[in-house]
Amino acid sequence: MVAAATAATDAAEAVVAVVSDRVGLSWRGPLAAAILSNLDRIDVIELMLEDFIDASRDQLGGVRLLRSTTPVMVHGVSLGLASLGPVASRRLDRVARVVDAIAPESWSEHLAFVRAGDIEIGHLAAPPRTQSTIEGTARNVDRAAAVLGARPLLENIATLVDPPGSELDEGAWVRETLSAADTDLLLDLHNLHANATNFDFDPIAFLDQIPMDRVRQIHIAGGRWVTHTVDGLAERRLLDDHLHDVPDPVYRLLVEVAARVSGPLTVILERDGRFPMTSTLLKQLDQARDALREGRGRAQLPAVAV
Amino acid sequence: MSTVRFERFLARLYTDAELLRRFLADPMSTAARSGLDDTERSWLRDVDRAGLVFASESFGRKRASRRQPLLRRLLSLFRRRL
Repeated sequence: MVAAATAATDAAEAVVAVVSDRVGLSWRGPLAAAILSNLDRIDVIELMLEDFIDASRDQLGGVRLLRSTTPVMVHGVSLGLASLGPVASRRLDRVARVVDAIAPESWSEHLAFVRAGDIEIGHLAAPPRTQSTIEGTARNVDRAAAVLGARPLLENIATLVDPPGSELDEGAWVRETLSAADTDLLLDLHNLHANATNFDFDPIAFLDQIPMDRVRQIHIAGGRWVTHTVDGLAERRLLDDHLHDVPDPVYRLLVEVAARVSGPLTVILERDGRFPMTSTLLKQLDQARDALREGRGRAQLPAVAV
Repeated sequence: MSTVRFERFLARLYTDAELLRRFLADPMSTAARSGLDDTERSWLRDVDRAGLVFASESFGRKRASRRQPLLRRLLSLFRRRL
């Protein structure tokens, strides 16, 4: 038994040495000092694209300086690619200016619509999960790629409402959308955990449905319960708010993903407010590294006859 | 299947509290008055009523939080002018 455990540990270390997983943080202004003073423990930084839409040349120069020391990726929330409507050229042009100036490793957006005509929803809304929205998303990804010169990674979103008008479950819709859009996945594990909790499905079954060879990046975050009385009944849902520590089920999902993906993974901890001590954030990054190591080790374990 | 009109109706439900209130009270009539056809209305038959409330409240909070920095910027500009 000890020998088996030692073999497993050796295998895990060997895999970690070959597969260079990275763990980092999303950049937020209040975290700047914490990030810059701990770059030896932060492998990569994710920048919110919209923070730089109106940035001056000097500010973009500062980002390029950061990029010279640490890998940088950009992440957008405002394009609304998962829509039947075409994403506006002027929006793509503004995003392209930022991406051109920063020259990140990759850029990503969400599997969401955020507006319909002149109606701005204000955040990420899950579209009806149908063949039409799969095709609409693919058309918008093509438009974006033509302007930006690179296809975005697409992120699964958290939703508090089971998207009205849906014909497919989330796993099937995500799988078919990635295929139609010919792009890879930024898998948000707290979004998956929240949706699985709110709509009572097995997150592992979701992982079985999606093409794991398309998973490139991972988001981890936390959330909280919200309550409402609707039709006389007290209801509660898990809200992905990025204001709380990463819960254990998210780390367990990270182990599962690391065991199933063969390529390198980049894990980003998202924290938008109620910032904890820097040591707490760094501890969560270490917990993510531990989860990756455990999953990589499990992937290498020899099959056991039962 | 989905349609641009249906997507727009969802966006209105998420952003217009009065429309959502009317929809929850009488979904099919409200959808019809909003211009949805029979097929589009059928997509709303088993709609997640509680989810609509949670989502619209959450989107409203997000919109409000985005307006605050803009308001602060305008106020600070106004103060500087004074």
